[in-house]
Amino acid sequence: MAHSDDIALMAHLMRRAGFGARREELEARVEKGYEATVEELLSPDLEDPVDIYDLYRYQPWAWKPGTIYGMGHAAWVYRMLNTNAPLQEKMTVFWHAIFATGVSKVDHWDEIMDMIDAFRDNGLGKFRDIVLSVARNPAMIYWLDNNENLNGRINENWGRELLELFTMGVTNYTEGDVYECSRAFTGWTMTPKLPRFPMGRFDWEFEYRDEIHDHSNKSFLGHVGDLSGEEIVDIVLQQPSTARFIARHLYTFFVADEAQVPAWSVTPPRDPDAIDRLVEKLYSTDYDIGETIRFLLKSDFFKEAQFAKVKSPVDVMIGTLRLVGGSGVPPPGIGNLSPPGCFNGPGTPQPPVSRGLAHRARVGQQWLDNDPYQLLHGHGQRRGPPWHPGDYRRAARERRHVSRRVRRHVSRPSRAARRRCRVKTGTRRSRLGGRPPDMGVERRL
Amino acid sequence: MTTTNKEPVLVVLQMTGGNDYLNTVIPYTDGMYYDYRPAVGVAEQDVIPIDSTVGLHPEMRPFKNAYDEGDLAIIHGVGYANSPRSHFRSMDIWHTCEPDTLGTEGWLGKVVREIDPNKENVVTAVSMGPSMFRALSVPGVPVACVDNLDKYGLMTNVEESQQRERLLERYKRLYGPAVGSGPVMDFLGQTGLDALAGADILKVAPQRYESSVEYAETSIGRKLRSIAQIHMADLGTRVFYVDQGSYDSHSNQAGMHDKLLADMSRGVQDFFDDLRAHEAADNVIMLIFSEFGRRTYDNGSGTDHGAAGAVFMIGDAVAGGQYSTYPSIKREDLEQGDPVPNLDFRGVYSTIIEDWLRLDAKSIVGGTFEKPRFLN
Repeated sequence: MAHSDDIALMAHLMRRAGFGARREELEARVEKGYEATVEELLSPDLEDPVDIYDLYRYQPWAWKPGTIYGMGHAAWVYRMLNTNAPLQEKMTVFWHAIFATGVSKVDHWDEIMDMIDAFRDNGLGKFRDIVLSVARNPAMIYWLDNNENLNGRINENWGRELLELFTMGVTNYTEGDVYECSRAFTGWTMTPKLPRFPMGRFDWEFEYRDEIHDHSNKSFLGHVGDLSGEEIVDIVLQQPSTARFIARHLYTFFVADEAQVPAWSVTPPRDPDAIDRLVEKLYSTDYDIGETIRFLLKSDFFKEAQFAKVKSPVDVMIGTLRLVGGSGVPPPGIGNLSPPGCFNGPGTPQPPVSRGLAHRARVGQQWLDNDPYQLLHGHGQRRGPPWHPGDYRRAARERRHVSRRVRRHVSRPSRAARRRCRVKTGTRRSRLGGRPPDMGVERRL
Repeated sequence: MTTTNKEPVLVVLQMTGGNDYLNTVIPYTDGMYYDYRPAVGVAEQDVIPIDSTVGLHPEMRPFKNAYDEGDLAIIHGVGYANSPRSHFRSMDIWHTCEPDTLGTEGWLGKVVREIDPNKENVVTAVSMGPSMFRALSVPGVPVACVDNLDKYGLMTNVEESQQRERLLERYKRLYGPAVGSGPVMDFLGQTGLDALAGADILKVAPQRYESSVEYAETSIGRKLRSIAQIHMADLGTRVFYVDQGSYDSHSNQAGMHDKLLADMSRGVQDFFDDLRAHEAADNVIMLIFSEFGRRTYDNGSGTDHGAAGAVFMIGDAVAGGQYSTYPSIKREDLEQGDPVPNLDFRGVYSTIIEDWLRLDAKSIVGGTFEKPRFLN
């Protein structure tokens, strides 16, 4: 029988580096040990992936939802509910809270979900890769108007937010730097993967167009030259303010609530020593996020910070549903978990926590002002039937039932049929260029 | 006929996202303006002239009417020194009056604390929107956040009233014992209880309301109508807060800015028409502001973040006219490309706090600032 202190510590780890865990899981993890659990969390590729086809066969429009309200990020919700690699999924929330975009403007979920997928793929990797993938993401390009940023017509929106919201933090650069940075990103634009007409709307992809790039000299944070966007990011990463900014984000997300982000320029950290050590780690690992989080999760300042955070709506929602149990076939109405009313207040559809850390600077106790409070408690009240934990248990039962039925009635398709399936999928990939279904059909059948 | 208790009431309308001052109050006779703005400049013949140097955006006809009636004060060049040109930091500064440090208390939260120190009325302040504005946030001060007045309340999806009653009873039992068991639980418990109480009080407002004024079917129109309903239900609400946006017009500014200003001006006009029709307007003034103005130069499509902006005050008690001076847009007078603020926003707040709400402004805005005298 595990010691209660060990259980409490493990529960803390799983709440912060995941969405909480049930007693049986906690006991099993204590048995394995704290360090081993941290290593496991940091190795998402060793876990069984979520079979997203369980969702798609019941809710086909959760794949490439386009502009479908409500279903927009159902696939993301489904992954959060069912993942065996909770830290990997938690990183999608972490990065989305910093690199927030929303369909209120982008008006097309697919690009936003592509960005979430990228956070899943490289959210524990190098910060440089993450920033550059965001800089090339069509949703972000459109969200911050970089498609309108061209030589001679400088649009400062992306250039400013790159410095203010994504890397250095307000007051650590001049207005001149904003302008020069924006010039360096001229020509970073996007293009539809297929023409919109006559067939409708298709996804976009990144495109660099040299003819609208501003090639004249730029003077940015003391560096002069024909700086490219990549070089700007490299210079930004050399700034102590950037390492501090990311360290404070990591601290406030994983360890304890801090002041709201815009006030960081005027408010010292809650635990300056912890921030210094995180900064050092970021520097010494070339901004390796996985390494830095490994250090963080094993540190005393993390272990001592139990109950030092107010849960965000996404933690409450996903954590509760995971605790009451069950994974498997989505019961009817998973779309009701997606509307923003459940995550961050009503209004235009926004992915979870887009009003979170960076975008609306909401952390900690600010989640508890009383309207969101009502929403937390009355979730599902805005549309459709209320989601009840019982649904989830029913769903688990249904899943068992369905699996039996599938095993009994569905025979393995012929070799020719499987080949057709592959060809079809392959075609879809090459035409749309998007993330293809991950061959789950074949594997499952 | 509705009568109100005639205590002074303040409505704040926040133009979220940074409203373009130069295209709202337009220096239409200055050639420089057109040089700076080949893409988004408003043609001289379209501007609604106020005087020989400035005019209003073409969609702001209702504001011109209010100006002619003597009910609209246009306050020029409002802001603060060294604008960081950040939405988030700038909004924090406007909300907390703390440009140099972290403000934890919102200026209107402090106002509410002064008005209702014993927390006798949980709807002294009402915030219209999905989340609370920092301006209203002071620990321990209740503020009712209402996104949709018709649906406001807990568990409104539960239609069977008996079942709903039982659920609500359970919530009360859940929150009640939490109070007194530590600061976090106090906060949780109190917030929950306040929300329950507020929901019960506010639900009468739409029932008591009847009006012949038809508001435009816009988001801001609906919110202002809800404010009118609550105000006329005489529930003792003294501070209302509402926002509209986003005014963050980096791209394709012309169409979007036109629509925002049209919706805003029409909504404000409907609101005051409604109040006047019910003789409920004389104790209401409205403050309209944005966190910053935008750059002098356009970027070929829109305008980027700037500094100085305009504040509007509207109401029967407002002494119409123009206050402060339009900042110079001569190239040599710009600071980092923008007109420089010449009136501190805390002065505008001070006038409201002292001369309208009759409270001490110094402790709320953190100092003494030049007060524009825009009240009758």
